[in-house]
Amino acid sequence: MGTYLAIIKRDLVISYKDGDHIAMGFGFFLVIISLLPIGIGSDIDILPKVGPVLLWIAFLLTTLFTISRLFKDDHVDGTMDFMIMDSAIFEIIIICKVFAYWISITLPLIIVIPIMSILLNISMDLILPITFIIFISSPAFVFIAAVGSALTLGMERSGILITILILPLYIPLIIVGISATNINVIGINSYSVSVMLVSGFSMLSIALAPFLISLILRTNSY
Amino acid sequence: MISLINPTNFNKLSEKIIQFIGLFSLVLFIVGIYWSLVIAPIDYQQGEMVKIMYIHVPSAWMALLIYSFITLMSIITIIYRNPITVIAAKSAAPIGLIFTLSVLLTGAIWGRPMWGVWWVWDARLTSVMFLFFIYIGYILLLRSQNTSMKSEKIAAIYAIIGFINIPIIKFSVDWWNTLHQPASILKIDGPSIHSSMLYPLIIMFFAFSILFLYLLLLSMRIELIKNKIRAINQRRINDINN
Repeated sequence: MGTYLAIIKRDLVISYKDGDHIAMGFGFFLVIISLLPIGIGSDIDILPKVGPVLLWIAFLLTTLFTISRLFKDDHVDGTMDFMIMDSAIFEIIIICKVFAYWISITLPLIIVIPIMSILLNISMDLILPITFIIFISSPAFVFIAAVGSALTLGMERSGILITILILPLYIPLIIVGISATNINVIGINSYSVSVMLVSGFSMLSIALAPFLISLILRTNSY
Repeated sequence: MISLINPTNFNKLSEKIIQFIGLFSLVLFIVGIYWSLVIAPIDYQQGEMVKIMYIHVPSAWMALLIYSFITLMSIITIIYRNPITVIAAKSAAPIGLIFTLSVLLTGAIWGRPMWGVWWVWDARLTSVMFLFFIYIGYILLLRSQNTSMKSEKIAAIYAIIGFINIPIIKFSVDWWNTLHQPASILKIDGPSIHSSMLYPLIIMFFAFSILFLYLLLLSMRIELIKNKIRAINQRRINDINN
């Protein structure tokens, strides 16, 4: 237990020391979301319909672009080999690292989503459901992106490649999540169904992704 | 038993059969194209445009078949580490990519007169586009690492992850309300298409698959020769350094 807590603490300390990383993810998120209202300009009625979709896309892109640092530094200086050889379970170490990433980068984004929703002219009663469903789906986002980060471990400019590789895996999640944010069109029943489906995806990804990631990282390390 | 499938045996066997396979594919294409263009009936609504089906549908089957082949080869690679399976998957990927591109393009050409649009974002078209991206991702991953053994294994894992897309493509027209036509051939109660259209379709499918076999064997032989050249160069560098 001590090992796992130590790894979470270590990753958090490294993230916060190099604060640029978190600020870049944050700034990327803000800039993407600001682009749409600037582009649409005067036709303010489109924004409530398009806004939730943009939140999902901005969230997705920020995750995909910032995740490449998750395993890279440890792989480069050899700590990854020690983690594999250690007596602690490597899959749980991976979960700890992804959890630390989630706290440092994804959680600030989720906290800021209500403010961004106001920027996007989304109606007030939709803000809490949208925030909640993005919060529930964030483990799935982060773990699937972590699989992509493990696949592209050795490469330098891997952000774009991760996007191409992993986007097909995200589509069920995005379809369910975005249909949940259209509650005013479909009706309140589909929201609870969508929340259940999305939380199912999240739990499935937490269960499966560490094994896939450990298989890929062990291949990378021999 | 898997060790019987090694590069030497493969080279000997493929040398003997590859010309026949190429010739057979050519014959099947001539028969299939003549049958489908001249003999097969035209549609009462679509007229002559329906003949695109004889390219579009077999290409689609080939795209899915080749991806399943790559997945199978990837599974065998991870379990048995046989060198031939890796080369087979590597060589099949560009062929599958071109077939997927052909499905998308012929579908768009067919859709413009029939549906009025070049493209819709319905379930089947979107999932076939994802197949296209997964092929591209697989080919890019193969070239990603410095040592080819590592990149082959990583690409194999990626191919297996991406296999989830194949049932989605197959059943997308059943599960969702799509613009694309529902399944009419591979159904539980048999094909619902008339035999005068079914037979040329099957002939074209065999023509495409024998063509795939020919191109695959050719690609694998070239890849084996490339490996030999790489090994010779490596030995020369080692000799110079020692």
